[in-house]
Amino acid sequence: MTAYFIRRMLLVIPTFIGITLLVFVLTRLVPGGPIERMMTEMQLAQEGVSQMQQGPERGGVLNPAQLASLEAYYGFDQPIALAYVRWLGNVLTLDLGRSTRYNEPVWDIIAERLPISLYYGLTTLVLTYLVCIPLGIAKALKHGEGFDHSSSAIVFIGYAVPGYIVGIALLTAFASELEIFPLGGFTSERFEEFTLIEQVQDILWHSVLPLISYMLGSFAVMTFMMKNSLMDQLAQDYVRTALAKGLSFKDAVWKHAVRNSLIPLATHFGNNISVILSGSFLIETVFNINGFGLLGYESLLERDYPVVMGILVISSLLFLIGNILSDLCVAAVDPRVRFE
Amino acid sequence: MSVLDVSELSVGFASEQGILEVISDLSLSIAPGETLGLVGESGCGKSLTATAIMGLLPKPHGQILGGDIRLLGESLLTSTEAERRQHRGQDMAMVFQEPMTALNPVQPVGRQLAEIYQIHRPNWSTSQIQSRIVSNLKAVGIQDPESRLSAYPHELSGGMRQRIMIAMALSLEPKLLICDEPTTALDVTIQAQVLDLIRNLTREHGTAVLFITHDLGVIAELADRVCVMYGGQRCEERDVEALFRAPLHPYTQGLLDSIPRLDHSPRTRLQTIDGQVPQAGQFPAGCRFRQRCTRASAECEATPPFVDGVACFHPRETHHA
Repeated sequence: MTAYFIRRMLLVIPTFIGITLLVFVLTRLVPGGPIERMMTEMQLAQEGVSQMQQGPERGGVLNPAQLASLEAYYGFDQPIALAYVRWLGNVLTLDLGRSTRYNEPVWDIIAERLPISLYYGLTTLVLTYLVCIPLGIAKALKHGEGFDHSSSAIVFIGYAVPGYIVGIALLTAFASELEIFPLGGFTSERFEEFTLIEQVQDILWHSVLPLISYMLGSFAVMTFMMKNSLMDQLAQDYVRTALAKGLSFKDAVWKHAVRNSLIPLATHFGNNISVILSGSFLIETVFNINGFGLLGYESLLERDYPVVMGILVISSLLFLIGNILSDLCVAAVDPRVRFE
Repeated sequence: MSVLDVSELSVGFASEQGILEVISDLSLSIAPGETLGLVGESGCGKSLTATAIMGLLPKPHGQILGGDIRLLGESLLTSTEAERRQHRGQDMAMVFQEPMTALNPVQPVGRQLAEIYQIHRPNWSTSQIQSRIVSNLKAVGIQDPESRLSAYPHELSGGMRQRIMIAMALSLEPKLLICDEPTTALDVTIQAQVLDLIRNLTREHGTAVLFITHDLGVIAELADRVCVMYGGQRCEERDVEALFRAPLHPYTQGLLDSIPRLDHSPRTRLQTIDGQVPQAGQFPAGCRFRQRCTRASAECEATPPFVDGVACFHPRETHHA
């Protein structure tokens, strides 16, 4: 078992190299890049000027020498393989390079956003499990009854409506009309002046609406997985054995069926971690939260490749570790699973 | 007084077409120390009978439509759920067909064996329970029982699991043991061992046994009396020797004829019963076997009464060939 997990950890290395190499090569091969983006911007600015001047000397914004020095500055003059090896070497020393957009270390930009994404990701994950597992159990035990149908309706509506739409609706209702919750952001402006308790309250107050939007989507899948899994287990022979011993139905459910029905959920645990941490840029946009999702989206648009690569490093590592965590979770709940 | 008395029991299933009666007017009784074999084809209602006696009919579809089930003289149908729970495991216990799935896969077997004592003997200490389990496991022929307690079901063979199920069922020396095809899923060599085990342990404690099987060979070996079921009804119930020597009901004869026998000439066709078992809800009125019966007459459109161990208007009087 231990050997298996050591092997799995070692396998992370080639997988990680594979993912990053692919994306690195792609960033080099697709047309457009930070230099082109800057040139376009300059061109647009110049066009405005030249249109007024009607000057004769239009054309290239930069001369070839300037272009070459810029390429050297960004490292685009090196062959791809060499550039990748350099980049990888830097990553190993935790140096992700500098953002071409902000001219700040990528690490700083990510470090600024990571706590926000972690907070939302982990809270969503925990809340989802806290709500979906009991709800799924209740629905399985009351299968076909009024409670089951009415909760299904709510869960399906939540699943059908995209999270950002829910976000907009919630903002309109509770922030704009009723003014119960703030319009967005992660904290208030005067956050620094608050006492610790006020700071916690402030964060919670800001996170109610975004958390609802985040959770609604994952609700349906998890709740129904739990419900169906438990209903499957309730029909199993060992539940009948437990009843035949003289156990009450309630005890048979809680002492025997529930743990078995958690196995499929455990396999999803690792995936949920990585997916949730990457966030949703739409929800982040709606609530003006500076998280990972928004950062990734913007840096892609702006061809800020060092940031794109930096996010990829973190999310792919999380994904790979999440998969191993899934295996660990499954092994923890199911004694039949023995990884060799 | 008999341990189990089932009288005119009818069991139905709620379906889209209304309630389907699956077991009709079934009567059985088992005396202390007696083994009653319940035989019939798949779907004849024999397992359902066991489930109904244990009070484990699938909810909410399975329903008892009429009749009574008495355990040690006490009606199980009028008692409360709490009272029935007291009986389960303590006065009546069951061994199931599939030892592979009858144990909880994520709990060590020791814990599952201890649970029955925790339910019915809440005052017992852990060590008291532990030593009882160990001696129970020895009794069912498990070597080195202490080390097996921490094993998970998947780490044990099918035969071993069925031994554990038997040990579990007999934990509190119940008056009635219901065995629902306990050997069907096992290898032939293990089958014989498990049958011996059931026979010896139940004889030892004077346990009444309801043994459900479709294997007439097992019945011949184990049962004192046999009840043959067809289409949810009892068609013949007699002492095992008498029934095997001279079956009265045409269906019983058909069943016995379909067994290959050493004294028949080799490479001849086995006898089969023509037609198929009717589905519940499509039973013919009167004798349910009449559409497949070679001896059926107009008389059989009425339900034959159960007289002298057989429910048939034309029981065969002659000896079985």
